[in-house]
Amino acid sequence: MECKNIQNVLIDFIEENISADIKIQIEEHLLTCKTCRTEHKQTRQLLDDMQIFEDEQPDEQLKVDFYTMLEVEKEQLNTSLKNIKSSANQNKDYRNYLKYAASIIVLLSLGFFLGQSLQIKSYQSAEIAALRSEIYSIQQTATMASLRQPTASQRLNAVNVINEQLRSDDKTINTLVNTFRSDDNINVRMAAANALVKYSESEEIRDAFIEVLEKEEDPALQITLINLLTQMQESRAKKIFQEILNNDNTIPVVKEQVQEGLKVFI
Amino acid sequence: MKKIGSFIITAILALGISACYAQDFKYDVKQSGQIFIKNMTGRISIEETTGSQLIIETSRFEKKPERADGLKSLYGSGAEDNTGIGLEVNTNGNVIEIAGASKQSEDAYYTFKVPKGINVKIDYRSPFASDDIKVKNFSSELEVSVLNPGIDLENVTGPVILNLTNGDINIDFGTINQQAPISLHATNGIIDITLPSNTPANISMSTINGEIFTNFDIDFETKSKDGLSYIGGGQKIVGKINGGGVNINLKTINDNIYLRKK
Repeated sequence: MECKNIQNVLIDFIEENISADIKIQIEEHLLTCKTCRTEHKQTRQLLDDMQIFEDEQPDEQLKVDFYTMLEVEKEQLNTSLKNIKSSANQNKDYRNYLKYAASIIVLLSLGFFLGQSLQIKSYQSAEIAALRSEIYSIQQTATMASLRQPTASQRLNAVNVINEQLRSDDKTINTLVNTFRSDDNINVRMAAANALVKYSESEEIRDAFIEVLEKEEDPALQITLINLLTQMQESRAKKIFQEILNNDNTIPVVKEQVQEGLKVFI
Repeated sequence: MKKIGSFIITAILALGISACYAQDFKYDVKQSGQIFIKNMTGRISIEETTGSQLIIETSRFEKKPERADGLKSLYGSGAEDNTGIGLEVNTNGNVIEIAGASKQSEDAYYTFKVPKGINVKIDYRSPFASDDIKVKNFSSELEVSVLNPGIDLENVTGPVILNLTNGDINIDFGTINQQAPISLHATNGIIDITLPSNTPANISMSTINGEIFTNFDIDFETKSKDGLSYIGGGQKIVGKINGGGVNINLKTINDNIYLRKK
């Protein structure tokens, strides 16, 4: 027996609706053919699974429709069957074919539904992930946008959100650096500087700190940067510390911080 | 005798009024606008009003002399007195900008009555400004930058964003607005704030040369490990009160922080 034939009668074989000699043939074949063994195993599994599901009862109208269709189909098969040569299996009633056809349809649709329900799950999780990233990007955009708000508290809030909630990608870091360099309010800039300390390994951040300190005149921001650069042990800062110390406009408290900072530098 | 008594009282009152000439300026304000006071050295007080007009009251200010009728006053900064009380008021988009525009404005007293919902921003960094800023019963945002004087806020809700270099910050808060943060920085001054005892907040306080005092039960998140490596042995305290809430950030360099509950 060929594999193709075996696969056609597998269901009958499993449900033992089959003549004894064919059954033996199939069993022999299954011993030798791995593909058919797998097929057999899977079909069996599927049939077992099918029993878990309750049968859906079609309504009467559907039954009528189905039988009319079936009759039509039978007619057609009747005519076409006459042309088919008889083989080992074909001496059986053509109804067998219909049975196979029906079971294949049932199998296919069941497989389809099973597959779909599995797919829905993976779909759902993919969708959730997509939604999450969408929400994140909306949040990111909204937060970035609120850095252009007219009031300082809204911008300060945005810096806090970026610092506490957003992932540290290039976009957020750049935004923080821009805010740190050019926001209108000193408190917002100090908050941005403190949020940037996490990335103090980055050369870009150190450059920004140094460049801003060189020009900054607000004592609060000066002191914040002096302390941060001292903590980072950024050696380039030493020169600027000296300049600040020698500048007559520097207020005493800033000079003190610079002196303390210079002491700590190795 | 009664007559003489009432005569004396009337005379004293009349004298008082003529010595302290006062007048108002009113200005329609768009909703969700902002008032930006800058280049001013006169004394500034802010109050909230229920109306929709910005009202500026002034005292210690004399009208221009009759001799100057038909002439406009010039002022070094280029600002032009378009209010009759020594100030220039201009609208720039959503922002009403107010600047000192006469010699007299430098020492006059101004009270700004601001409609509810209008934020106020003050740049008081002129080295010649010497009077503390006073704000009372205010529920919109205050953003103030001051060089020398201090600031005194009473019954405000926040958001409050302050940066002072030499002055002290004294604030008696009403119920804190949980929507936006409070950030107070005083480089050389003290920070003394009083909060309603049930205020939920995330508080961060730091000082380099000062001490921190409080009668709040603070739930410490982290005592900064960097504390000791900070130059000058400064310290930073981060914690929550009443389970945490809006961010409140207090920072001084040279003085103490007092956080009180009421």
